[in-house]
Amino acid sequence: MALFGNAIIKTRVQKALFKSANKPGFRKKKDPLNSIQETLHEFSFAEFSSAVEMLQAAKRRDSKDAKMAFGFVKHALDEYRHTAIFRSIIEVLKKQQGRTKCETRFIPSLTIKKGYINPNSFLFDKFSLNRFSVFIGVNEGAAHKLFLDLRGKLALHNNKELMVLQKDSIHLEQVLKKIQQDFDVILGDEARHAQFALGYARKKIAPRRLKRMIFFEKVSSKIRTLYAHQAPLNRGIAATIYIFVISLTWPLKFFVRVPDRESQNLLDPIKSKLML
Amino acid sequence: MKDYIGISAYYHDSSVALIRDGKLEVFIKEEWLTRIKGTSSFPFNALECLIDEYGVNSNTIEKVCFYEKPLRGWLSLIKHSLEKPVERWRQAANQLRSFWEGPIFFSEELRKIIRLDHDKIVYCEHHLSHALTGLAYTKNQKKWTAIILDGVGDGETASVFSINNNKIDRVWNSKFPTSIGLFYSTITEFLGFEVNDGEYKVMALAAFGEPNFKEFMKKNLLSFNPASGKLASNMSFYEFDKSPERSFSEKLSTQLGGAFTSSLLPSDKNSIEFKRFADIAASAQSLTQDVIEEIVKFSIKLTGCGNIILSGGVAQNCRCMAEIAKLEAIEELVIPPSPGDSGSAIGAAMYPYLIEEKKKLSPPGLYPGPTPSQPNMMDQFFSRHSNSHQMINDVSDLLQKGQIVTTFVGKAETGPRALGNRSILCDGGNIKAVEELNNLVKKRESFRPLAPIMKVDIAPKFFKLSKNAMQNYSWMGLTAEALDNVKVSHPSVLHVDNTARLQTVHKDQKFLWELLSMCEKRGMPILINTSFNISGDPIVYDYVDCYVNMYRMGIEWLVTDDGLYRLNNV
Repeated sequence: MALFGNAIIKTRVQKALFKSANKPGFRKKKDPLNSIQETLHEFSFAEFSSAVEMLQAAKRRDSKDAKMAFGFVKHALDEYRHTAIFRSIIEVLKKQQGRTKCETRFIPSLTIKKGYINPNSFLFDKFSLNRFSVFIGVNEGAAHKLFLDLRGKLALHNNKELMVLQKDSIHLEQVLKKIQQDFDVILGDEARHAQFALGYARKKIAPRRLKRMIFFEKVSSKIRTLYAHQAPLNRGIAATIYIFVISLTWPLKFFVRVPDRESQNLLDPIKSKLML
Repeated sequence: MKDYIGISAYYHDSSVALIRDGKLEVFIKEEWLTRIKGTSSFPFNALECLIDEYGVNSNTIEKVCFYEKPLRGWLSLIKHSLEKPVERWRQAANQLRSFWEGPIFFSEELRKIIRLDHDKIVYCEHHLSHALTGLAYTKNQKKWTAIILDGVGDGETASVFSINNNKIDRVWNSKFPTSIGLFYSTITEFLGFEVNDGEYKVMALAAFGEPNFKEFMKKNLLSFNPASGKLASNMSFYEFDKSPERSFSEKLSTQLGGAFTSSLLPSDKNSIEFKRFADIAASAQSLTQDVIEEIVKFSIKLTGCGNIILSGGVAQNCRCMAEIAKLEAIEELVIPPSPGDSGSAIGAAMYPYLIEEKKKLSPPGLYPGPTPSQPNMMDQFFSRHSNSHQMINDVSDLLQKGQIVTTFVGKAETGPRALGNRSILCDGGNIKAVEELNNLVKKRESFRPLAPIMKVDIAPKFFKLSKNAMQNYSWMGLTAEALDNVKVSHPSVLHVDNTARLQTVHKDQKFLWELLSMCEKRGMPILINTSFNISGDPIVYDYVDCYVNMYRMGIEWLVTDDGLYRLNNV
């Protein structure tokens, strides 16, 4: 079927991606364990979105290089496993706390709303293979640092909240030991992913260009993180604007009328064109 | 080629349906392609699939139809919000935001991928889309009463249509905010489940409780007056019309003893907290059933026609549907396989088709999904164990040994329920295998049952079936009560209330028929059938998804059209 002879445009919506998860936000001093859960919650979305991206990359690469495609599948499986590990750590912490103050329900479609992924423009569609590998290499490296930081926060001697919990829990030490082991698995995977991706990039890209690309990705990653941190401020500004607009549009309620619908013969070609 | 395309998008479960030359050619859910469950964004990937795989282009397309009237829906809700702007400012802000991000710019989104003249783009009323989806699954030209019950669409929450050949009239409707669907999703959220996903968990949970809160709910949350034809709710118990963030108010929380949170749901079935948890679910379920019954009776009085199509999200409540089917006034009941929003893409495609072609669609069948081919990395994923001739014998061997197998045969199903082609199967008589499948493989809540699958000719030996709703059992449209022998021979296929959402298989479903026949000979007349996906993921779309899901769930065996395969590297 000749697809290019007709009037099909395959432009896709290009939206900004905010792939990197927020850094652990420990600004809420009152309950650091809840903050850790919120951070783990965000990490699980970031890992899930990485899994989906890698899966899409595998499907798109299969026809050209099955070996590389299989590598992407393996990477996706690691990311799914990390998501599951983060979810299980959240559950364990909640059980230890015996109460919950933060909502950490995992709803996959939120990865889109939170901006981790754009289903209309997956990274592999958007980037060249070289840029994709640099992107993966840099971001896996950044994730490694973040996870290392969080691993430290979940050590008993570093966390006052955990010390308080320890008084009521005989299993806490074992639980935390298991969490540290889980983190070690994730850290190992992230380091390996970064090494593979950057290893591929080193083979394919000239050193000076690669250096520039890595620098560019690092800056982009910082900007995305900065933007993500701005979210509460943006929400506040948006709410103010909406309240202003609502107060302006409020009198419209006296004039706007949703017209009554016809009830007879609904298969009408003229009405079918109406949006109202 | 004459193509009619229906699109459902922006709210939940986006999908696309293609009617080509008078038959449903393909139905694609966007989530199958994005691998993100419940994807609600504009279905670019599904449309791209139509273009690449089915040769759809601007010349073949007669009409593209969106499944609602976008401006009407938006205007109805913004008007409602502006009536009490102080109380409802969050909802109003949400509506203002959705002006730019929602379906009002549907035609512009569509034209980013297919350059179409504006006169080829049409809009179908939301509830009419649901009604036409149901009509697609009827087998004759007689008169029908279509009852549509959902959350909200185009500012309406329930509608009744009278359908007589190609003439469709609306005879009744109910407007936002009073809604059976939103009542049920409010309770879903109250119980700590996710709206648009957890409703079936509430339905399962209901069987464990007593409807102790029903009178309170009937008085305050939802009631129907058949004399006036009005649905009523006390909106002070709800929050969904005021804020997009929560469905229930503090007042409701206080009345029902406090809301449940998702992360700490009661799991001990003997605890007081679990009893309250289940009692609230049972009350909501029982009240929903009563209200639907009253609306069905009321609708039959209005139209004088007992052939009922029941569609809309509420019709996915298969436990209620089983009770509705028992009503004497119903001559025939049709609940489409996918009565929710994603399935209504089929109705949307049918709308311009009926207007232009003025004839009925050929019945769509159970499997209108696509058939992806094998990837180049197939050998890395699987090793072939037996060919397609030997396969049935080998699969029944595995099932007899208590193994769990997955299927990826033929085309995909439409609905939320896997019907054998994208399924996970095990022997329904093997309690250990069923437990392993439910708890370890699918990791479902302990109160949720699994569904049995059996040949249509032996189903009456095990279950009491409603004769006026027989075809719905082929797509698990309603539950059925078990006969006493099942309680002894196959206790693990039954829910705590001795019902099951069974699937009956017909001879034209070749693979399943042959497998079930072989299993029957070996003393396994009933298998368990659950969807081929890990919890939280969409049903598998291609072989890559099969590998990834099997690897994550630890399942070894995959049945395909090409033979039986074993997973590498488990």
